[in-house]
This record gives sequence, C-alpha cells and structure tokens, in this order.
Amino acid sequence: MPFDLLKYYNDMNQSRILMTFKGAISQELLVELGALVRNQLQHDDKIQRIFAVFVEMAQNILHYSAEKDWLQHIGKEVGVGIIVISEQEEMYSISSGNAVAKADAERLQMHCQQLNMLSKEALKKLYQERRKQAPPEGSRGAGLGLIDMARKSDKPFEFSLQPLTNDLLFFTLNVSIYKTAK
Amino acid sequence: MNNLIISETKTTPSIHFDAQTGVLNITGESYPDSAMQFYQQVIDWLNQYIENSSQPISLNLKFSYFNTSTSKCILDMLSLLESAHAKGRKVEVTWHYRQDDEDMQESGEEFAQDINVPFNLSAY
Repeated sequence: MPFDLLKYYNDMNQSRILMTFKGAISQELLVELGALVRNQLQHDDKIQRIFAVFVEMAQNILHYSAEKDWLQHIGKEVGVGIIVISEQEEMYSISSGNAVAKADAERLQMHCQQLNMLSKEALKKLYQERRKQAPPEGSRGAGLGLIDMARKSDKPFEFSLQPLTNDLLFFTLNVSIYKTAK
Repeated sequence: MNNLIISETKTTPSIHFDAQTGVLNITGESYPDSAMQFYQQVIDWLNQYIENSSQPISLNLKFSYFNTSTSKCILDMLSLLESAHAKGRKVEVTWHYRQDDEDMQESGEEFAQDINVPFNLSAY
C-alpha cells in the first residue's frame, strides 16, 4: 500500500505539528533543525526554553540512541530517533522517541520516575549537586539533560518505554511548556 | 603568554582572553557536539595563566544560550578561579544576561551560589 500522504498531512494539521524529524540526528542537522524551531516560534517568548529542551532531546538521541546510523559524508556514527514539536491551545509539547537497550531501560525508568516526584526546588538542588560531580559512567555530557528538562517542563514530564524489537525498547519523553499568558 | 582568541561558530561562543589585561571574555551560544572537548583548550589556557602570571582576572560570561554539558564546563572554569582566589589571586566574575531572560539570570545566580568568588550579575 502506498504511503497515504493526505492522511499524514491532515494528521499533522490536526495535531498542530510545528516541526518533526525522524532519522539520524547529527550535530550539523541539529543546528539546522534548531534554526527551524527558532524561526517557527520567534513570536513566542518561551522560545528560549523550547529551544533548550529541543537541544537536550536532540543531543540525547545523537549520543545515546541504541539505534545508530553511519553517516558517510561526515564519517561519524550518530543516533537515530524522532522529535516532534506540537502546539495545543495553552501549551507547546516537545517530544522525543528513540531506541534504548533492554539492559539500560530499568535504570532510565527509575531515573525518570524519581525526577518526576521532585519539586522544582529539589530539582534545582539535584542539578547543582550533580554538576559538581564527575559525569556518570557512559555519559558523553554531564548527565544533566533529563534534570534540566524536568526543571523546564511546566507539568511533570511524561515518559514511556514500549517494546520495539527483541533487544530494544522505544523510549518516549514529552515536555510541556505553557504559552505566555497574554 | 599568548592571548587565547577563538572565533564564534553557530554552536560555540567567541573566546577572547587577553593575557596582558587579565580580561577574559566568553560571548555567544554554546551547544557543541562535545562541550568537554571544546572547553578543554579554554581550561588549559586558564590553568597556565593562573600558574604563570599574577595579573588580576576579570572573567565576563555573556551567553545567550548554553546546553547542560556546557554548564558543567562553565562550573569547571569557575572552580579554577575559585581555587586561585582562595590562594590570594584577585578574581572577579561578571555574568551578563538579557534583561528579559529569567532562565539565564537564574543560571547566573546558581553559579554564584556554587562558587566562592566575587560574582556580579549584570542585565543588558
């Protein structure tokens, strides 16, 4: 069956998708997508926050997705995933999805659950404490991305881990940012 | 000692460290593929400067955006200044933020809490 482009177009309209990308996310692509995000949202003064969440999500996929792609033109292996930014009446949703190894899933789930139970004040404290420590093993950044996104989300972030293949789970994360009250 | 001058890119700030005057400026956005890798050269220069001179240091940080791995690198730089300050070096940090950017203001306040050096917050 050929791909139903009309249905896809209508779905995107209904869900008010501002930006979406599925595929291999290189640093170079991230910069281009980031420019697109800024361009789409330049009228809203929450743009800085939305951009910040977008960058953390995209760099998480780039560095940590368990699904990798070798990009010949830059000679690098990068992560594969999906990012969607959509708009509702009162808020923006920034969502990401990527594969994680089964072995890492439990730790990730625990981490997300713990972050979601913390107050903004406790998250701030945790962020400052973690920043003073050496990065966690296997981290290419500072292990601060999820904490930062939890701080920036106006509601507890939503996450899920669903079966993808025998060895992989699909991790989704959704951060909500309220539009500025006019 | 040579100055450290690095031009701004889309994902890294401009670095302008003047060895003569001790005025060190970092300006722009920061979300490189590897912040650790980018800031290593900055941290190396700063380490040497602290060792090899006694000039007062004035660090101006003016970020319009930085990601979380950059945040760690900023703290590493400030920690170097903190230990130099504890050994008697004259050190001053100024955190510049856009007037309407509350998140950037808060970031500055958090660094000020974490590091024991004279720390100014300056809105522009």
